[in-house]
Amino acid sequence: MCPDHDLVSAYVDGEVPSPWRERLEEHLATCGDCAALAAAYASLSMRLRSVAVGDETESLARGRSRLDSLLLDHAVPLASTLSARRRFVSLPLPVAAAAAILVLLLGTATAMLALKPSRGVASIQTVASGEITPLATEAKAQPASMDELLRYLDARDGQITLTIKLPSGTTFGSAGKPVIMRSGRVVRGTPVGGRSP
Amino acid sequence: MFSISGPPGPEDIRRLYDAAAPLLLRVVARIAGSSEAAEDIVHDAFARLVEKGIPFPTMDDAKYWLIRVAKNGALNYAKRKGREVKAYERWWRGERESTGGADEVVIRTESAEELKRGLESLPENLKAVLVLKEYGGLSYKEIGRALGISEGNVKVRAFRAREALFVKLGEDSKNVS
Repeated sequence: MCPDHDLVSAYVDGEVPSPWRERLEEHLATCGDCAALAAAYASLSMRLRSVAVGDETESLARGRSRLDSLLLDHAVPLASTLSARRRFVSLPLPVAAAAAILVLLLGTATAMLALKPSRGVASIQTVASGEITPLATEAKAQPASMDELLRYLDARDGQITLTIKLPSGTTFGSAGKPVIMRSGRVVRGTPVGGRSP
Repeated sequence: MFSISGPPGPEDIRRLYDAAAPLLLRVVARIAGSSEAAEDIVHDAFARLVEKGIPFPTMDDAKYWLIRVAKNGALNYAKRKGREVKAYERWWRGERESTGGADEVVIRTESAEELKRGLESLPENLKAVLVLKEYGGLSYKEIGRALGISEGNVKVRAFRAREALFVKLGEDSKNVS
């Protein structure tokens, strides 16, 4: 039985492995048709390879020259990009450290300003100018100054309940009592709420 | 040698050119049917390699990539050229018919030109395999890697390409030796 023709074609290409190659050779030695087929494939290969296209050597040299130019063209932008990156990375250490410290200081200062509690005279004035609403049985007071406010309190022997509306935008620190009470003690020496120190 | 971590450098590419360019030029010239076109097509393949900066595990992988790209470039060129040739032939036939056809007797002799044209007129998938085999000197395994097909497929295509070429040449494979 004759082998498939694609196997004969593969044999001509040297692509049939042992032991199939030896068996095929035995068959070719005894089968005229298959031997003619193998010869035809081999002949076609030889004829194809004998067809000259042109001088490859010159093409190779020209191609190599073009490739060198191409690589040179690509090397320039790559090198400039790399050197720019190196310049950035190679900043002197003291300069980089100074920049880092500056950024740190600026950040800290900004944070402190944002979180700083509202203390001092300005705060007292702001609070003092607010509306003091006593219980419903008492008259509504509108003190114009700190002194008036303190006199108002003294007149009631300090036994009043106050609702103090604080300005919404004012920030108080975490350190305890409202500033107005401490100021009252300092100026007048009289405790708010009627208690002795 | 190339590393998997990065694209090939200029020296790698030069070494690759020295190793693969002769094969590429031969193969592309046969597929495209033109040495001049082969130069351009092979150069374009290397230019793509340089521009893309693809990392290849080995030199062979880069070579097979180049073969694939150059082969496609050659097939495209051949296709374009084929369309032009057909257009010229149509025009030429028209001219001959209008002038009475002075040289109607054509003596069919197998020439290098005939063989070349027969090869060029093969279907792309058959032509690529036969050219890589005959002019690239690649094994079925290497052709398979370059074209992304199995060795078995390469074997079948090589056989079909030969049979198709016999038909183009007006020969019967059983009667040619």
